[in-house]
Amino acid sequence: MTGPAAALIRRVLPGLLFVLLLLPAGAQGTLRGEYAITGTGYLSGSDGYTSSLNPGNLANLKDLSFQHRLSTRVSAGEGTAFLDLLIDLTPLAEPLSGGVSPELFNLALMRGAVSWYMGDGFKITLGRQSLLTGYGYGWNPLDLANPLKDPVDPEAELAGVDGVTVHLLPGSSLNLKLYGIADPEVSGAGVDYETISLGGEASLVGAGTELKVTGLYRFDGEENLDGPTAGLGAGIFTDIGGAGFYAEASLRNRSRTLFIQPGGVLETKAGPVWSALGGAEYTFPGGLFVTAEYYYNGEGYNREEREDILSALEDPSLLEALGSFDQDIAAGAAAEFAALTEPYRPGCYSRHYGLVSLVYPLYDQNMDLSGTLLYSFDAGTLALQPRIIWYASGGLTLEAAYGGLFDLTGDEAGEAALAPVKHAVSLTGRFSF
Amino acid sequence: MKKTLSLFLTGIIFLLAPLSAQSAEDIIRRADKALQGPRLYSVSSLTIHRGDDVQPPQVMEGFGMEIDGKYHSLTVYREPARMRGTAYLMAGDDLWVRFSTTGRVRKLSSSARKNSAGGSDLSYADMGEGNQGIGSKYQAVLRGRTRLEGQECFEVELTPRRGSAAPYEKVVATISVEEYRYLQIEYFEAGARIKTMALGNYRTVDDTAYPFRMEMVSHTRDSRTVIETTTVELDSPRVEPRLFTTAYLESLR
Repeated sequence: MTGPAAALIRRVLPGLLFVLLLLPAGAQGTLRGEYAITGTGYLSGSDGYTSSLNPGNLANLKDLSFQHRLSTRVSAGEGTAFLDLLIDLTPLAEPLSGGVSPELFNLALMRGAVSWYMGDGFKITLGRQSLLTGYGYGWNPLDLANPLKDPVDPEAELAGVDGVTVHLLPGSSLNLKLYGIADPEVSGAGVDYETISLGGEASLVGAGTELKVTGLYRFDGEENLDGPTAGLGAGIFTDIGGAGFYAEASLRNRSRTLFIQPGGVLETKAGPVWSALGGAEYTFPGGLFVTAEYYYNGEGYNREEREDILSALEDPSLLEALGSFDQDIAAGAAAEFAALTEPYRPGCYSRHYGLVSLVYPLYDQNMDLSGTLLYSFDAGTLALQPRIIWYASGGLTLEAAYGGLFDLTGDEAGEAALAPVKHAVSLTGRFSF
Repeated sequence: MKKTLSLFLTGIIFLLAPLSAQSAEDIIRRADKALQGPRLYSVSSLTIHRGDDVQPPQVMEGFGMEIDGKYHSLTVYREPARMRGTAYLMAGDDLWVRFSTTGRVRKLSSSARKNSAGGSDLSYADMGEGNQGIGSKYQAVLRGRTRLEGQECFEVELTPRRGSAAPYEKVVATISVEEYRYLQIEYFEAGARIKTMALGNYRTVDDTAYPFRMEMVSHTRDSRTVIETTTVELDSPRVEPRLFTTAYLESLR
């Protein structure tokens, strides 16, 4: 459908559905949510926002941008049955211009699940749910079911996965979780049986120590970037002298990241691919909370692989095609270029990482000071993110942050060198209701 | 002669010390009864006063029970909006926190138990272990008698039991002689008194006198926290073993 009617439907329908969905559910359960607006200012370098990842500012980055997010949670149920709905509304960028239009927005069902307890030892959850697990703050190699989280913003909410989970709780110290999950729907037409994955997690706790074992099996065993990969994971958390020490490791049958193969084809790497994390956390008497972690990212890229990606991004024929006046050629080149940018994930790009996170509460001022330092040992990239969070009232939170990427070793294929934006400041206002 | 007298006095002290300790332990056990319940459910409002500034009240539900000989407690924040769904589960010395912002459940080390709960003058340990009673982690010695709020009181000094993960170096409890009620609890760290809790407004719930008002005053900053309990249910059917699992924490909203 085209024309004004289609535009009207496109503008009104999602909002109408949103309200229709929330009203009845809100009447029976509890409705709460959060609206957040973030103003972000980029500090451009001598080349503006141009980098190998963004030639000629292909992404059309501007100095100042605003991000809105309305997150609404509807929950209902008492006793043994529960409903959980979490819906995010965010503005959507225009596909061609990259600009944000007020009538274009995206409704994402982040969670949509019902849970039912049968006695104390059995719980079943059906729907879109979070299966997040692990002990690490920045990374969780143990987590086989969920998409990769962003170590630069590890507290960001991730969309859940569709599936059925059975919790078996045979005692207070043992927790078993068995689940079947489907790959995310890409086409909207559903998924085939073969793309279902079966997974499990066992947690055992006792005497200040907790152990976790995870496993995931895919029926097709095929490469699917949007779905999980088969693997095994294990983790431990133990308390020694008040400090928490933890470790996680996983072995996957293939990577979830794309590697450039001979001939320039992008493919995942066949396994076994292993990753591991070790960390410690401690809360000092004054309230300072410190987390330190080392992560070996088996799905990341070594120097040679990063240079392969850089060469592909800087391929003169591809760059020439990007600037072609022939729209078909330019569109094809843009798609090829976009595929080449997929491997770039700050904090998960190279192999060896260290992270230090500090949170210091200033109770008298209702503030938290926090800072994250992320260093890529093999690519020499340092990421810094200090933040000040002010809890202005019971509902309003204001947050000021700076994010900076520094190239300490002159690695042209490293994360800092590739990033089009190396310094940014942001101010976020968040209201919970 | 002096040696004989000295041995005699030492013997007397050794004989009397256990009696005194036994008496103090008994006092603590009787006072703890008011805070304990086989399955305890409560709803409380916690208000932080910083100087003249009064923070929005934090409303929370508390659940507590003993499972397999280990005390379990769950505290779930209901208000204010930004904290709704934040919860912490304590099973013995193990602590898990559910962050409402992400819904993620994370296990934290025992050092975090001393951290302030929601910016208040109470720590996670104070909140989670309060209904466990003090006697479980501390050994008691009767210091003597004193008067507080016009009442004759026992003054009992408590120091951590060997091997227990007691959060404080020393605790001094003032307990009414007549009704064995905690009236005041003083907490010590590094030789200094760091905060004092006053307990009052005792009301009878199922034949047990429960303090419906507690006030924790910090001696290290200009801050105090008042906890007003609105609901207490002893042997509550709301409190079930399944609540004290990370699986339940994950399903909290």
